[in-house]
This record gives sequence, structure tokens and C-alpha cells, in this order.
Amino acid sequence: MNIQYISIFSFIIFLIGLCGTILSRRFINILISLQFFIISALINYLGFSLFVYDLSYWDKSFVFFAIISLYLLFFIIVFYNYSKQTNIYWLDAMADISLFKTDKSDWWGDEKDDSA
Amino acid sequence: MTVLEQLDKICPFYSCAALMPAIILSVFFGLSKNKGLKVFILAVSVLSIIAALFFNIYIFILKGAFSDYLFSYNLLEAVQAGFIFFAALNLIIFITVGNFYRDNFIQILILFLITILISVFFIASSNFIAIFVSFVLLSAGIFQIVTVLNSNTGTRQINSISEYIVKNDILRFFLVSAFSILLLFTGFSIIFGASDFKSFLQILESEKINATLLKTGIIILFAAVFSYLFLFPLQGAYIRLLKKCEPTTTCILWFLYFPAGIFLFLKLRNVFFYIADNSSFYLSISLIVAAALTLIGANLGAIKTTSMRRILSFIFMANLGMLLLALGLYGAKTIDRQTFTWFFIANLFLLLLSYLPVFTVFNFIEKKEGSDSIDNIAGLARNNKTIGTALIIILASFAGMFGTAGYLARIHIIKPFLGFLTSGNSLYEGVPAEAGNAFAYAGFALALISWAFLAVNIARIIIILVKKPHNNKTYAFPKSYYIYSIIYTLAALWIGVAGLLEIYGSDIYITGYSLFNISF
Repeated sequence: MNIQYISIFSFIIFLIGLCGTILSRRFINILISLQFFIISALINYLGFSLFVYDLSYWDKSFVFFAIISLYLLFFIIVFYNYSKQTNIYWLDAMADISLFKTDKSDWWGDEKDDSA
Repeated sequence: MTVLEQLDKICPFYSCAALMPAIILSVFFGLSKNKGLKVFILAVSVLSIIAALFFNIYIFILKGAFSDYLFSYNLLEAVQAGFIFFAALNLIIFITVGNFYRDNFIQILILFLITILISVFFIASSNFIAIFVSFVLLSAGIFQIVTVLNSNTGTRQINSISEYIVKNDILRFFLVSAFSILLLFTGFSIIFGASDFKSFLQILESEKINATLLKTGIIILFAAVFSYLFLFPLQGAYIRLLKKCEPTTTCILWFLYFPAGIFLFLKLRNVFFYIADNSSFYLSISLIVAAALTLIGANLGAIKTTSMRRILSFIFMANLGMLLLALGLYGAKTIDRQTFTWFFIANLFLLLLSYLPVFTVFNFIEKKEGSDSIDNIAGLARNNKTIGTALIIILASFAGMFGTAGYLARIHIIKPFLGFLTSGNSLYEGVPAEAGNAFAYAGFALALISWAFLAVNIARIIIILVKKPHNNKTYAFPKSYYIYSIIYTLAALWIGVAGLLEIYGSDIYITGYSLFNISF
């Protein structure tokens, strides 16, 4: 085991997460993609902690508090999504929350009507 | 141990202590729908925010700077906390006007006060753990306020397509925010790999600052701030949400969410200074290109739309572009560190002083007309001379008119170039003078274009305000609207005159201290 391989592995997971976040259109897919970022960062922390900084408590404290706060944020986002249901299938089917999608109307002219 | 010595232990969080009674008290009445109780909790909340604002200033003057393992509180942090408290005081008025008769009004106030409390912790944090955790919790707090303000109480089911679209826009906005936060997490993990530093100050003091891994981590942190602020071309989620959300939400995002991103950048500023000082040429080019995209894209967006909310949202984004331009100008060595920080803070306060009264009046008209079309304000200055004149002065100040507060904030991006043009020396070490000068001229041109663009956008609104209306429709503004607009107009003029006196060498400080000599 080598720290370089761990870093490369972590970077690949980061890229998977990045591609997934940018390309996904569905809420659940985006959430899963965001999890990849967490995994990638955790691999970084644990890898560096094991191979570079022996007996470091700093990273463990950081990871502990960061994970709690991050999952709190994720929990309230997921809760909000599933607590406000439509029960109208075609509305859910047309849901597109691509994070970085930019239409022409997002910066040029007036906004097009989403409900049309 | 005396009470005073015990109180010393909570330094510098006296302002948080001032907020706590209101939070604790309101928790006991969170489910109440009683009007009297709502008024009582509102009064306590307002008083606690005023007390927090007072303690923030007074204790800093009394005790001075503070620093420990987790937190650091200097003049810059005190000013940032002052900004948040002042914004909170205005936001609580907006929340009350729009939501007082809702059943969950007290719950909204609880969430709001807790978010303000977390903001102060975030501002004061200097250790990576404190920065990250408080930043995530702040985003979570803002998310909760936004969702509560945009939800119908008691209905779990969405009843209309517009409500469904707003829900999706909120989700999209805060998923981008979560994405930025995860980028931050990744950035911190890489910085940990390069060193086991626990704050940005340690990075600066270390020899490892030039390590590639460390620089990669810092670049990821900057990318996180970029996406958090929805800078061009990532503005889609921001523009869509602000067009459709409940009106108070726009102000919550402008004055709680976006300042958090700017404050995060200000924590990184010393690292940025170091990197910019050592690789200024290419870094400046990238920053100036990014600033140009944001400035031109946002200003064009504002010109092409007829929706007031979109115009204000785009102009807000253009102002963020100006801050980005300041980064490029620092890289070009045309402004110094002091001016850089001053420019950031001055522009934040200018946004606050200008947007609050403008938003108040436009929101009133939007509610009356049922739409936010710019045509609704046609002839407002003719039919309602007091509010019309106040708006024109505030908007002119925002555009940077001479003699107003806006002029002081804007002049800093032009002034250094004037000095450079007279000296004519190359600005970069190791770069031919011609290339360096050409780049500095490009930056100067962009600064002028951005200013001119902004002025055109503001001029468009002013022309519509004074042009002859299609019908002689008048709006009966409550007296409080007059008072509110006039106070801000006088503030813009007062600060403008104080600044002018300083510029022309007067040693009479009508604000009580020198505006330009505040050293952050």
C-alpha cells in the first residue's frame, strides 16, 4: 500500500462524484454523487493520517464534527424534499434539478414559463 | 471570581450572549399563535439584536482584538458581525411585514435568531474545524428559513404547480450550496495531506506554502467559494429561485447567504495575497477573465430583462463580479492589501444601504400589482415625489455618483490606475513592460466598462421612475416607508459628504473617524 495509490484512488472517486453532480438531473442521483465527495475526502483524511501523520487526532476530530454537520445538512434537504410531496406523477416525472444547467433565459431576456 | 471576570471568559461572544435570551424565551412560545405573544417575542428579538449590535461595537472598543485556538476576532470580524446585525435588524422587519399573521411566525423568528448566532460564530472562527462546521450549520440555518418562508403552514401536500417549481428551485439552489461545501471539505482534506495545519495563519507561516498539494487544496477552496456565490456562468439556480420565491427570501439570501461566502473568502485573503504576490501575472489574467465574464454577463442579463427581481439579482451578481475584479487588480499590483479589504467591506455595506430601501419600495408595488414588471414603477417619481426622489438618490449612489456613499466604494477600482497611468512602469517582475502594461490597461478598461454598464442599468431604472406614466396611478405608501427611505437617503448623502471632505484633505471627520484610514 502506498499513499500515492490511495491519493489516485481518492481522486478518481472525486471525479466520479464531480461528473455525477454536474450531469445528473434527478434529486437522488445528485445526492448519491455528492456522497462520493465525502468518501473521497474521508479517504484523503484517513490515508494521510495513516501514512504521513502518525497518531494525529486533529483529522479524526475534524472528520467527526464535519460528518455530523454535513449529514445534518443532507438530512434537512432530503427531509424537505420528501415532506413536500405532490402525488402527481407527471410533475415528478418532469423534475429536472440539474445543478449547473443554464438556459439562455437564465441570463438573457425574461424567464421562460416552467409550468407551460 | 467576580462576575466581571467570569464574563471575560465569553469574550468576544458578548453579542451572542445578548441574542441567547431571545432565543431561549421564544422556544417556550414556539407553537403559540397568540397575537400578543407574537408581538412580545418580536419585541424581545429586536431588542436582543440591537443589544448584540451594541455589545459587538462596545466590547471591541473596550477589549480590543481577541485570538485563541478556535477563534480570532479583530476589527474586520467586528465589522462583519456589525454588518450581519444591522442586516438582521432590517430583515426582521421584512419578515414581520410579510409573515406576522402566519401560525409559525414565532418559529420563523427562532430559526432566524439561531442563524444570526451561527453567523457570528462563523465570522469569528479561524480554526478549520470551527470554520467548516459553522459554515455548514449556517447554510443549514439559511436553508431552513428559506423553506419555512416558502411553505404553506400545515399543508404537507403541494397544491399548485408554482409551489412545486419553487420547491425544486430551492432544492437546486441548496444542492449547489451543498456541492460547494463538499468542495470545501475536499479542499481541507488535501491541505491536511500537505501539512497538518489547523488554520490559514499556520499555512502562511510555513515553508510548505509552495507545495503543490497545498496549492491544489487552496485552489479547490477558491473553486468552492466561486460556486457558492453562483458566479457566472453558474448563476442559473440563483436567478431562478430569486424570481419566484417569497419576497423576504431574496433579502435573506442577499444579506445572509452571500455575505457568508464573501466572509469565507476574506478568511482566505492572506493566502490569496501570498499566491498572488508570487505568481501574479497568470493568476491575474484568469481572475480578470472570470471577473469580465461575471460583470458583462450579469449586466447584460439586467439590461435584457423587464422583471425587477431579476434586474436586482443580476446587479447584485455584477457587484460580486466587481469584487472578483478587485482580486485581479490586486494580482496586477494596482491595489494594495488594505485597499482590497476596504473595497470588499465598503461594497458590502453599499449593497446593504442601497438594496434595502429599493427592495422595500419595489416589493410594496409588486404586492399591489401582482407582478414585478419594471413598467409598474413608471412615473413613480412624478406621482410620489418623496419616495421617488429618495429612490433616485439611492440608486445614483449605488451607481457611484460623485458626492454619495457609492462614489467612495466604487472609486477604489479606478483610482489606482490613474496613478499607474502617470508612472507608466511595468507592474510585473519578470514580464516585459509592454505585456505588463497592456494587461494593466485591459484591467483598467474592464473596471471602466463595468462601472459604465452598472451606471446604464441604474440609469434605465431612474428614467423609468421619472418618465411620464401611462396612467396616473399612485400608491399609498404607509408613513413607515417614507421614514425608511429618507433615513437611507440621508445616510448615503452623509457618508458621501464625509468621504468627499476626506478626499479633499479636510481633517473634520463628520462620521467621527476617518473613513479611509480604517485598517483591517
